[in-house]
Amino acid sequence: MFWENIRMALREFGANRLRTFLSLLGIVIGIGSVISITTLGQSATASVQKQVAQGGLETITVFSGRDAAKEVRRLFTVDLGERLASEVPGIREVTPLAQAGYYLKHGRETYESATVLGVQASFPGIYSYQSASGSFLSAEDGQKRRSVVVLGAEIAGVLFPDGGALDQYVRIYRKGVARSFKVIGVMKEKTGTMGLDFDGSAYVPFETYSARLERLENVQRYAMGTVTGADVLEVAGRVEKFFTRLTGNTDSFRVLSPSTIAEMFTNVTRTLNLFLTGVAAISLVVGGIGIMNIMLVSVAERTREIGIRKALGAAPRAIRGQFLTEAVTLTLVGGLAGMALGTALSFLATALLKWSFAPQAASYALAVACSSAVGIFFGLYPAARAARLQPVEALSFE
Amino acid sequence: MGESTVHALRGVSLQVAAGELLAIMGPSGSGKSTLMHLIGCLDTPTTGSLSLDGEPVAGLSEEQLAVIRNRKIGFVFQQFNLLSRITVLENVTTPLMYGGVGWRERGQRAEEALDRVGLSDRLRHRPTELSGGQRQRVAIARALVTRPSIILADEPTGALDQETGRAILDLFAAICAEGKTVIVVTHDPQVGAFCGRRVALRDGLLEE
Repeated sequence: MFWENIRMALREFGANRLRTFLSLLGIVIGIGSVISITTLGQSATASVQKQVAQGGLETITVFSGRDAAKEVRRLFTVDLGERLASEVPGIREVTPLAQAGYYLKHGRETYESATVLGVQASFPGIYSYQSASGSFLSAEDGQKRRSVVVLGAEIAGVLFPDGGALDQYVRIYRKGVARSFKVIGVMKEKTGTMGLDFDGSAYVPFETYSARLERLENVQRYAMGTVTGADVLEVAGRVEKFFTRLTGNTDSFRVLSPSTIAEMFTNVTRTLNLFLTGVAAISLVVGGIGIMNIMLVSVAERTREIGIRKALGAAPRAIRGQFLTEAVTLTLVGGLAGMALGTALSFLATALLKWSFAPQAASYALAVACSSAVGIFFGLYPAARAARLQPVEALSFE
Repeated sequence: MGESTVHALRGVSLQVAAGELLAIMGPSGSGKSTLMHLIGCLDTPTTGSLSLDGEPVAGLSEEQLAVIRNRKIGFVFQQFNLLSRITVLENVTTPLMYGGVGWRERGQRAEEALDRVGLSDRLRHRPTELSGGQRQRVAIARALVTRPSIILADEPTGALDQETGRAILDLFAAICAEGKTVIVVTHDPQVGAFCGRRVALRDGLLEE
């Protein structure tokens, strides 16, 4: 009888196409959003994780707070970086980091809006950044405050279109400051991450930077690489403790790692998912009420049919089964349409955003379960009403 | 003002034997529809008893009454009451479906029944594609397919022209000859005259 009920239901929908379609919209939208939310959420998380992994998942950055007291700011010294590396387990190497915007000039070529970064020799190791030619800054370059510079790939390409940058001099300048630096290395290309534009930056020794370019009294930012295999979040926690002990409070610095960013993102997606799931649930309930309404109309219209079926020997149970099957078939049809819609939408969105398309088998299972549940829940009352009809009255219904 | 009870039937006592072709006659409002609903287990009597095949029917549940309607009674209505969305064959298999008959046997028995009423060439048609006489034959096939002991026909010729109506009555006579009880409810004296036994209902009372 089950298959007959489904066939009857499909025939009933075929005879009332527009009505069926309209009553299904709520379910289609509800299920469609369930599918696209879960798929997009997963795709977003995957692509953020991929980006974060490119930037080096194992780096941690500490910023000194802008409004930290002067005594506190004084604690942020170059030597503190070395203390960090030796005292905090899990930290492999540290570099102080300072940056500012400058023009770079060689002969007639100018590179505007270059970022000049003051860093130590450990910088490339922390970000797995590789030299293309020459070498990176050495510790000695810093100690002797040499005016040497290593160029990012893009700057080198602009200033030295024909190559041969090594041992040439470039001018680093802006209003009021102009210095000549000797090029000792050129870096390979690397995608920017974590606020660093590798290819559009020029690297000078931190000590030279703070003495000759910006006259810094203390360090505003430390970048550190962690030991391979260490739990970055745990190490970040230790760094946080180290600075809390040092400064006596938690407001004068900020610890940031790609992992914490990834975790923040995951939290944001989770919250967003929760919210959108709520929206989906509401549209499923609204859709379910639509189903209930259309089923009540259907039962009323088919009172005579119900009477005939009862005269032919249909037990109340059989009538209830017929209308319940019809409601569930209806919501499942809506669910399938919603799945197709959600899949198409999330596919388009991921293609536009250049994210990986990651449909979740679990969310499709959830969609099927949700649409059946809506059908059963909202079909129960109309079906019970059909089953309760008195045969004589139903038969005399015009 | 209060609700008043209308006694559609009052103290009706009627015994019907197997193989009889009985006409229940009476003008409209005489209670013959009520009597038919009672015999057909579509309704239950307020008082009194009803036995089918010697088994009392009073006090049975909806589910049990459905089983009795399915097994023992075949209905034929004035307005045919076929299901218009499904084919002739599916209409005839419907009671078998409710009787729990397996689906291959259903098809066989429905085809036999439709063959019996001379419609084996209309299996895949919709009821709306058939003439009135043909529709009533489908309804009779549907009533016969469960091999019930009683066929209950409510004004079976009321919506048909005389010639077609006559053919339907001949079909009933033939069914009777096979040992089934056929009860025809009608106000048409000509139909009554055709039947072997007649009872008349007037104001809820029965006259033989």
